[in-house]
Amino acid sequence: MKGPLTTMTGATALVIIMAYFQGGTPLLLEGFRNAYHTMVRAIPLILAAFLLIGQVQQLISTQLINRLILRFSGWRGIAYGSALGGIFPAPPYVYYPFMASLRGKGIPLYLFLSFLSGKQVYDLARFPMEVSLISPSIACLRLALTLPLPLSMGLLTRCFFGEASLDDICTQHKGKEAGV
Amino acid sequence: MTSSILIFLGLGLLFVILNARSGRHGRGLNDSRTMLWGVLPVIVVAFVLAGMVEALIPEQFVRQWLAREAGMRGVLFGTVGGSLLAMGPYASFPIIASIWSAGAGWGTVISLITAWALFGLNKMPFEIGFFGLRFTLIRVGLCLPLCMGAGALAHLLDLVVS
Repeated sequence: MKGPLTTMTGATALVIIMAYFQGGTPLLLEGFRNAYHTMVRAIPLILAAFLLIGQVQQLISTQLINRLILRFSGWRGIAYGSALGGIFPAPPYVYYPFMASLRGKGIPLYLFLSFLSGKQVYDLARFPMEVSLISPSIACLRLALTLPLPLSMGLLTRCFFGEASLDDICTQHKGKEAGV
Repeated sequence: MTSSILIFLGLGLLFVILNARSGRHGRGLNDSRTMLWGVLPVIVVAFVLAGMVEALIPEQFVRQWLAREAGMRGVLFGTVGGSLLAMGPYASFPIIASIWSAGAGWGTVISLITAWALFGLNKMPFEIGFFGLRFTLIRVGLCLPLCMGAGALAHLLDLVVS
């Protein structure tokens, strides 16, 4: 968390300086008042959200997702892949290595993309944060509008690439890099 | 907001009970505490940044580029802006919330969140590193119209509802 914190602190310092030069102390005070009011309103929801996130991470294991994703294919695979992506409880530095661990098993590209899009769009562990930090109505609207997105992603990929596996795509990439 | 708190608390307690059967509830509570403690400084700084952004964004800019009146420009701005937010949810969401509070339309906000989730710069190094540029380009090429479609749909809904 040190990297993001440094970046955020730097950006905040820059914005504070800009606010001071644009509107002086009154604008600075307005900014701090905005921050205070939003934070006070969000604290109970943030605490409840973290209680939920910690338990979800214990309830759903990587092994369980691994077992399930290898069982399905076709449109059913797309639906299950999207849903499993949504409940996979991990940040990018965990779910990308997890997906990479499934390489070499001949899993079609469309299943990978359904899983990845499901993770990025549904993300059960992130949704409570979206509700608490943005707004419940916006979070629900966003989820409703993007609900078909991972499924469409899977169907589109299947339409364009058929049963080609992730290894086929990555091998072509490596082949080109090596000048094959 | 109160109903969301109650839903999360209810679900959280239900999962505590489910995890308690296998004795993992304690580890879950510990995870929650550790995660919250780890990201708390980022959340606090993000709230300050978001408050300042909200105060700084001129009304004219919001009307022209982000509000409902901006139309598809807002959707386009949201898609580009969301992909450039190279931070985690704890840092990005308060900033998106401040843009929403400043008067942005549904189309802009939905595009911002969706683009951040699908191709935020914070995920790209992992993706390119593990699967290569070709995989990433294929994914982004397929995602982009879907992301803009979601934003356009939100914008249409915004027009219908208002």
